Formats: sequence, structure tokens, C-alpha cells
Amino acid sequence: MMIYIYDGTFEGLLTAICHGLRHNHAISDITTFQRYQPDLFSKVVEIETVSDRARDFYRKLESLSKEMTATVSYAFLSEQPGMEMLIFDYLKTIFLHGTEMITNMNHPAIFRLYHLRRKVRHEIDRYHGFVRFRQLSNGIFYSPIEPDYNIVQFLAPHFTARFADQCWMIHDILRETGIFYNLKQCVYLPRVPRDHPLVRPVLDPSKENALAADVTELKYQHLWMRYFKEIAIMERHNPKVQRQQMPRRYWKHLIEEVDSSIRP
Amino acid sequence: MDVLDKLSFLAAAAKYDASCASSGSKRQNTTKGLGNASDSPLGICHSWSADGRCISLLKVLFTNYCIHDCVYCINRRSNDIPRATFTVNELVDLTVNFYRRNYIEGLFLSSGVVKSPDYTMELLIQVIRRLRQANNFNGYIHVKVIPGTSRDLVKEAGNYADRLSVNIELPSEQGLKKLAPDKKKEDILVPMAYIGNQIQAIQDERKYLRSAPLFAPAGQSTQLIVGASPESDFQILNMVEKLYQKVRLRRVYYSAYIPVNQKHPLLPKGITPPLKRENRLYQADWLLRFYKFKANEIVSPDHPFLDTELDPKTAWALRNFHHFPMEINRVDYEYLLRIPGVGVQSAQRIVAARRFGPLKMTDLPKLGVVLKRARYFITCNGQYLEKTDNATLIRRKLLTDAPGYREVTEPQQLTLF
Repeated sequence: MMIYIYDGTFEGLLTAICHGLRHNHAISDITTFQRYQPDLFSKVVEIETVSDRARDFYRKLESLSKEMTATVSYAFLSEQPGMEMLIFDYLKTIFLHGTEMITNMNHPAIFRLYHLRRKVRHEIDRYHGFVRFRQLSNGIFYSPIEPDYNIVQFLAPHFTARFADQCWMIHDILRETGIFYNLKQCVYLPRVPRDHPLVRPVLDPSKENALAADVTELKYQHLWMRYFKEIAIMERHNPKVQRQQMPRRYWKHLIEEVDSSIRP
Repeated sequence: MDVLDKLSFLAAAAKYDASCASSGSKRQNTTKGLGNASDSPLGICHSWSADGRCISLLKVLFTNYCIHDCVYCINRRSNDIPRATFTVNELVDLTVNFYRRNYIEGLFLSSGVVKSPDYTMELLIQVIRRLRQANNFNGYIHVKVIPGTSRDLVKEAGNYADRLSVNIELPSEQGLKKLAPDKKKEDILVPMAYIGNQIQAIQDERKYLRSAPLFAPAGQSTQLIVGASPESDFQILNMVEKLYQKVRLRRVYYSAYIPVNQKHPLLPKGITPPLKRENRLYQADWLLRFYKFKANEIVSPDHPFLDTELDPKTAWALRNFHHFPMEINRVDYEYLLRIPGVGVQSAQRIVAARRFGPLKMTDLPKLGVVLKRARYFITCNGQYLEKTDNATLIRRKLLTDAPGYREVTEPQQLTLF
């Protein structure tokens, strides 16, 4: 049995899988240098990322089925431990049986990756709704997010199509990455520190920062909070459904006070 | 009065309207402006309020002054409540700034009737025209058509709105006469038919001329109040089926009657909102729209009300037990849809997956089938999971297995007339 070790990038993983499929290796695990723990029985293969080969492989997958590459990309950005092997098994199954296998949810390898994709897709859809922009003092509309999966890049097309006439930025404060739209195009920012002076008033709204908050911005936040309260019909009070649809971990960066709405 | 107070009163006054959809529009942001109503095939919910209903649109009335005195309505003329009216500027500013912060998908605009239906409709049109033209706003706009509005104004509203709706409110003419004496049946049905025809005409035109202007590209919907007047589910569903066929409604919303005007002699006394009945009506509505059921299969003159204990599909299956069991590996898609516990998605997955080999009972939960309900109605390769020929026994099993089962003591609807 073999263990593949790669550098943690998408290109690295594609290089590894391409290698594994070409040599028909019996792989027991694909893991990153950080996560790798030596064991006695497996042969270790260190994969050197070859960007060109990864790109060619991806193009080939894409020509077979866009649906398939989408599933693979979503699964990769889930960052779940073990997703590498799921992707490998998925692609191996499809190469063995043909692309029509994608629709066979009854096949365990297909089902597992589809299931993972659904979870990632679901979080993206949620964030289309849960992103809350605050206008910073320099006019930029800024939203912090803390997603379970590394989805910030997947939010770009939706928000670019929608907010074409304002500068905005979505900041994944867990991974310290972001996307920024500058009225022309949306760019990916690989490193945006949490303590950047511009975003500090939003992320740490204490002491002197509170004073810096914009009056107009606060006005709309108050209007929204009031609207959120008034629109509920108390005769139909149902906090259980509210929490199912909007789990607690998303409340932190919403403007509305979900917590206090629960008591009738 | 400042905008905060106005927003409080006019949101509270609009909240009884159930409509929330923000999907199905074709309006794209091609102008580098604000908003894009075409990017969400399933609609986007931005928040959920404490009643568990989603918040997608800024749902407000333009004003809650009203010349009508509809018995069931919080905003009726004779109620002593705080009244407010937005200015066009205030409402446009609110919509744009909420939208810019990604609080909402767009605007849901309704209104009490001031002076006349046409005068009120003009005000609503001013708001949406300003949004579309002066603010380059391409977000979703749902506008209520005030019953009795003239045709030209309905047409103009349709040029700016994504969805139009005229509320039927009461499912029969008698109900309307008793509880909404100022509204006539024609005031509602005439604009509805006109919108339906207009949408169809524009759709046909756009087949030949892609640049033809949009007219309510997300279609029209309506709302019914359930439980304020004595109509049966049989009457309601038959009417709804006709509406779907004839005026091509996208959706009908059902709103459980909430006794906001407790003291009125014509209204049922002391009832809690019939939420279960509302839920069953929605399920039946889904059967009509996505499961190829006919209204007279779900309810009949002999069973005019939906079963509150069981969902309408299971109830149908138990009444028509001779169609079962169905063989999962063989029956057509339309028949799969008829099995309790099998939905549109799971039926599609079954059809796709069984091409690769026969399915076993244990495969089904993975495909989304709810075996708790389906088990009595299916076979896999001729094998039963649980064989019972007795529909009454199955009914009892389904009810006692249901989570949180207790004897249902729904408050019964009182007779009014």
C-alpha cells in the first residue's frame, strides 16, 4: 500500500491523483506534509506539484464533464480531512465505468463526494443571504464571515453580478483571506489580517472604535434591527424553525439581534 | 414622525401577507447598476424572524390608512391604530440602502387604499419607477395590485415589477360580501386575468424579439386567508387548481387566519390560527404543482377537508390502497411520485440509479426515500419490507410512529353563517 504526500494545494492534489491513476497504484491515503504521520507498513511517495500537468488533467476532466469538476472543486474546498481519498475514489470510479456514473447516487464513492459537495454548496447558498455589509469610513462595503468551508472565492460571481456600482469586500476572518471588488473586477486577496486598521472598528467594536462608527451606517443598522423585530407574527412564534434555518454559528456577524427575538 | 417609526408601523401592518418568494425573475444587472434578480433560481432568504418565516424582501405598506373596512384586516378603517405614510423618497432610500448591505433581495410593496384604487396604485408605481429609473435598481420587486385598479396602471406596474399579485383573500363570493363588503369579486378577478394574458403575450413576443420589454417576469401569485370564512378545502383546492390552469399563477399562498380584530361579531371567536390546516393546504398545493395530482384526487365532496393527522399524499395512498405496492425497480417516474415518502428528488435519483443495477431496500434512504412512510407501499425486487394489507392498520402505525405523537385536539372551526 502507498501513501501519497502533497503540498496541500489543489494543483498538488491533481498532480497526485493523476500520478496515482496513471500508475494504477494501490493508494491507502493521500495527505499533506503537515498532516502526515509516519507508519511502518506503507510506502511513502512524495508528490512534487507540477502545475502544467495539473492544469492539463483538470482540462481533461472538464472536457469529460463540468459537473464532475465542479464536484471535485467543492469537495476540495470543504477542507475535510480525508476528502483527498474521496476525490481519488470518485475519479477512479468514473474512469473505470464512464462519465454516466455521475448520476448513480447508489454507488458509494459517487454518493460520498456528492454528499460533501452538497454541504459546501449549501453553505455558499446560505452566505448569499447571510453576508451583511457595513459601510466603512472610506466608503467600502465590508462583511466579515466565518464559514465552515473555504468558500470565500465561490461567493465572488454572485456578489459581483449584484453589487456592480459599489466597492465591497468579503473577509473570511478564520482563514484571513478575502475577495475585493474595485468597481472593475473582483480579486482574491490571499492574506487579509484580522487586525487590519480599516476593519478593526467592525471586528472589535469596543472603546474608541465605537466612536469611529459612521452615523449613517448606524442609522440603517437600527432600521434593519427594528424591521427584523416588527415583521415577526407573535401568534405564530416558532423559534425552533428559526434556529434550524439560521443556526447559531451564523448569528455573530448578522446585524439583527436573533438572540433577543427568541423570547416572545 | 421619523422613518424608524414609520418603518415599525408599516412593516407590522404588512406582515400578515405570506408571500416571500424572490425567485424566478429574468431581470439581470446588465447596466452595471445595483442588484440582480436573475441570479437566484431558488430565491435567497436573508434572515428568519422569530415566527420561523424567512425574510427575503423588505415587506412594507406604503400607507396603512385605508378607506375599506374589511372585517379580518388589521388596517381596517374603523380600527384605532397608529397610521403612517411613507414618502416616495423615504421608501426608495430604505430599499436601496438595505439592498446595498445585503439585508434583502428587494422590495415587497403593498398598501392600504387611500382615496381610490387608482390613486393608491399611482403612488406605488411612483416608488418602483423611481427605483428602476433613477436608481438603476435591478433587485426583485413584488407589487400588490390594489383590487379595482384600472388596466393602464396594472400594465405600467408590470413594466417595473418582477411579480404582481392580487389577493383573493376569501375563497368565495359570499365570504367576500360578508367580510370585505367594499370589494367586489370582479375587482380581483379582472386584473388577475389581465395580468395572466399580458404575461403570456409578452412571453410569446420575446420568443421572436428578445429585446421586448419585460412584464412581471416572475409571474403572478395570490393569497387566501384560511379559516376566517367557512369554505372547505374541497372548494379551496378546486378554485386554486382552476387558477393555476387559467391565469397561470406561479403560486398561491395560504395564510392561517389570525384573529387580529377579536371583537367583530362576524368572525370566529377565540380560535388559535389553524396552522396545521394551512400546512396541509400547502402540501396539497405542492401535489398539484409538482406531483401531477388532480384536486379531486386529494379532496372530494365526501371528504371535503384534508386529513389533519396525515399528509395528503399518504391519505390518498391509503384511500387508494389497490394501487400498491409499487415495485421500485420497475414503475415509471409518475408512479414513483405517488408513493408516500418519495419526493421529486428521490424519484429522479431512483430513476437515474436503477439504470446501473437493481436497487435494494437498504439503498433507498441514501437516495432520499423516507422508509418510515414508504415501507408499507413498496417492494424492491418483489420483496416487502413490511407487508400489511390493512389500510386502517397502516394508518394507526404511521400515526403512532410519528415523532411527538399525541391525540390531536385541533381547535375546530366554528360555523359562522
